[in-house]
Amino acid sequence: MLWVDKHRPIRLSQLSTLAPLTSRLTSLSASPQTLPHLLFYGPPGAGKKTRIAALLNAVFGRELKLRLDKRVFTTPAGRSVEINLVTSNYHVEMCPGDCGLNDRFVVQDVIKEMASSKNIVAFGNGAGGAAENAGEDGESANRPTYKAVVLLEVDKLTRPAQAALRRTMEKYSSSCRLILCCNNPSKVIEPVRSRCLGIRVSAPGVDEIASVLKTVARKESISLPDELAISLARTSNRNLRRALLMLESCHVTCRDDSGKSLPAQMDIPKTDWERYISQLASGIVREQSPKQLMAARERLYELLINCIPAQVILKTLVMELLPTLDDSIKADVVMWAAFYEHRISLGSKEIFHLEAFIAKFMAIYKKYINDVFG
Amino acid sequence: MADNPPRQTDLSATPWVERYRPKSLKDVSHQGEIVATLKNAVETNRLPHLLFYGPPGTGKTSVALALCRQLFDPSQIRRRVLELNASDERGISVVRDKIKQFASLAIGSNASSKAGKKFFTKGGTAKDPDDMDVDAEGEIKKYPNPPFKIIILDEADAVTRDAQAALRRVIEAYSKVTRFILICNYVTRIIEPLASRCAKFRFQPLPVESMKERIRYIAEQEHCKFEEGKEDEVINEILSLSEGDMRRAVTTLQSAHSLSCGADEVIQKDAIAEMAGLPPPALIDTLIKTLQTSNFDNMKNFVMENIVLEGYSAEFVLSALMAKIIVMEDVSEEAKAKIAIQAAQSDKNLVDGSDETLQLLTVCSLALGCLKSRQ
Repeated sequence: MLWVDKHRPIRLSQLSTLAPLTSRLTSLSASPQTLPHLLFYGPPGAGKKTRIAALLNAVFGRELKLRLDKRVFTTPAGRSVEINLVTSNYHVEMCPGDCGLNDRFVVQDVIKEMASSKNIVAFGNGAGGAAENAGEDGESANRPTYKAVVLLEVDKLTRPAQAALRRTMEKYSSSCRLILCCNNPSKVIEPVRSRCLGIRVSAPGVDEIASVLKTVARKESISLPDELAISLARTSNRNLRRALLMLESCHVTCRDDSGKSLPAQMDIPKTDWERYISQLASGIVREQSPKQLMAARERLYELLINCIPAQVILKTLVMELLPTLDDSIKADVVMWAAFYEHRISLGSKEIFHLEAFIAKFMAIYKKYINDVFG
Repeated sequence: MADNPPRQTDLSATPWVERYRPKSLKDVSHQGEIVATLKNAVETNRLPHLLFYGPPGTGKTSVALALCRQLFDPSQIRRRVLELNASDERGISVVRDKIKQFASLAIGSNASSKAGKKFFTKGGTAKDPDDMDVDAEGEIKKYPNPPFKIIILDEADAVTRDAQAALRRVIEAYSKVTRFILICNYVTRIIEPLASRCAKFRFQPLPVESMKERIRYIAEQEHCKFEEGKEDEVINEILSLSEGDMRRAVTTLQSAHSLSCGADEVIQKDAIAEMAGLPPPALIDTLIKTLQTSNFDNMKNFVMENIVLEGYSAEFVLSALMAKIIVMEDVSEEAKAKIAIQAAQSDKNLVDGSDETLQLLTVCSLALGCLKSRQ
C-alpha cells in the first residue's frame, strides 16, 4: 500500500494539519442532527477527502465499511450509463462528472432516489433522534437519521446538473445531507452555494507538511533529516499528497545499504517531464530563431505524446521562464501566457497555441534584448 | 423544543431554511404587494396563472407553497398540487405525458367538489365542520378548496424551449381545471408566448430591515449565542454578505451557530465571511498594498502562496479586488478603466475554464503597473 493511503488519518483527532479547521469540524460533528449541507473547497492535495471521511466517521460514530458498487441506469434518450459508487450503510460517494454530459440524469435519478429514501440503519434504531443528548459516543440512539451523499468534483458538473441539485437539497433535507467537494467554488452556481456551509481547506504550510513527513518517516522507521523534509515540502508546492509520494520515491531510489536513513542533501527526483520542460525553457531563452522554434516543436510533441496536458505544459513553462526575465517584460509574458492558455481551453488543437506562445515569447524577448543592448 | 419530543427527530434534522419557511401568506415578509394581490385573488376565486421571477432567496418558492397550503386542505394537497422542479426530468415528453395527464384530469367527486361548491356559493366563508381544521394556535382555519389543481414549475428557466412551446397549448386548454405557477430567476429565459399567459410578479431582493427582523427572530428561537454586545454587528455582517438573499442569510446563521455550539463559544464576526466562502477583507487589503508597493516577484509569490494555495477562488478575489480599486481615489480614471477591462476579460476566461493562477497574475501585473506609476 502506498504511504499516502497507509497513513491517511481516519479520525478527526488524527488530523495533524490545519488545526483551527479541525476544531471547527469537531464542533460540527458534536451535534450530528444539525449538520448542514457542506461544500469543501481548496487546492488539490490539501486533504479535502480525508477530512470528509473523518467527519463522516465522527458523525456516524463508527468506522464506515466501504464497498465498491456500480449503478446502471437509462437516460430518457434510451442510452444506458454506468456510474461507480463507493457506498456504506450510511453514505454514498460518487463523482457524477464521470458521466460527462449525462451527469444531469445521475442527479435526477440516482441521487434523488437515494436522497428520498431514509437511512436503513436509522429505522433499525427506532428513528431515535429523540434521545439526542442522552447517548455517549457509540450509542446508537445518538446517531443521525439521514444518510450522507458525497459528491466529488462538483465544479465539473454541467449547469443543468447543478440546477437539478437545488430543490433536491431542500426537499429531502430531512433524509439526506449532501457533502460537495471541489477545487473551485466559483464554478458552483450561486443557488447551490447559498444552500451549503462552505469549508475552505487551504494547502497546509511548509512546516506542517515537513512535520507530517517526519511522522510518517518515524512510523516507517526511517530517519529523515529536517533539511530534506523542508525541501520536499517546498518542492511539492504545499501539496501534501505529492510530498508523501516524493518521500516514498526518495526512499525507494536512494536508500543506502542499511535501508533506514536518507541523506540530508539529496536531489529530489523531479519528474522527467518537468526536467524536459525546464530544458525547453532554457533553450528558448538562449536563442530566438526559427531553428529553435522547430526544436521546441519537437519537444512539445514529445510532451503531448506522453499525455502531459497542454495546460500543464504551458503553466510549468511560464513558471520556469519567469525567474530568468527582467521585471519589465514579466507582465507581458504572463498576459500572453494567460491569453494562449485560454485559447487552449477553447480550441481543439493544442499544439498550435503552445507554439504560438513560444513564438510570441521569442518575439518579446528578442525585442527586449535589442532595446537594451542595441 | 423539549415539550414536543415526537416531532423532534424531524425538526432537528431539518435545516433552518426549511423550518422557518413561511407557512402561510401572511408570514411572508416584505413582498407586500404580491401577497396582497394573491390574497385578493384567493378570496375572489380569480386566481390567474402566475409567473414569479426574481433573484435567488427572495421567497418565490415559499410564496407558491404557502399559497397552495392556504388554498387546499392538507389531505387534499397531494392530489391537487404537482410540484416539478429541475430535479425532475422536464423534457418535452414529460410535458406531453405527465403534465398533460395531471392537468387534464377533472377534480374528483367527493369532499372536494362539495367544498368547491361552497367556495362558489358562499365566497369561501363556509362554516361546515368538515372543512374546518384547528391549527396550532387553536384558531379555526378554513380552506377554500377551490375547484382547480395547481402545477408548480419551479426553476422554469431550466425548461427547454421545446418543452416550453409544448406547454403553451396545455396551459390554455386545461385552464378550467388547472392553474400553473411558473417560477424562475430570469424572466427572459421564458418564451414570450408563455410569459404573456401568466400574471407576472417580480420579487425584489429583500431590504436589510425586514431581513434583520426575521434573522433576529430565528436567532432568538434557536438560542444563538453572539459575542458579548456585538449581536447587531454580527447580524449586519451576515446581511451585508448575503445581499438580499434570505436563504443565504439563514444558512450562514445556522452554519455560524452549529460551528459555535460545541463548547461555550459564541458566534464571531470575523468567522462570517469565511463561512460564506468569500475572501476576507483583510486579504484584499494586503493584496492592494502589495500591488502599490512591491515588485513583480513579490506580487507573484503573494498571489500564489496566499490566494491560490489558500484555496480562495480567483473569481471572488477578482470581484472583491475590483470593488476596492474602483473607489480608490489616488488612481486615475484611465488606469481604473484599463484594470476593469482586463478583469472582465479574465473573468470571462475563467468561465471558459482557464487556469486561475495565470488569469489572476495577468490582472495583478497590470494593476501593479497602473497603481505603482501613481506613487
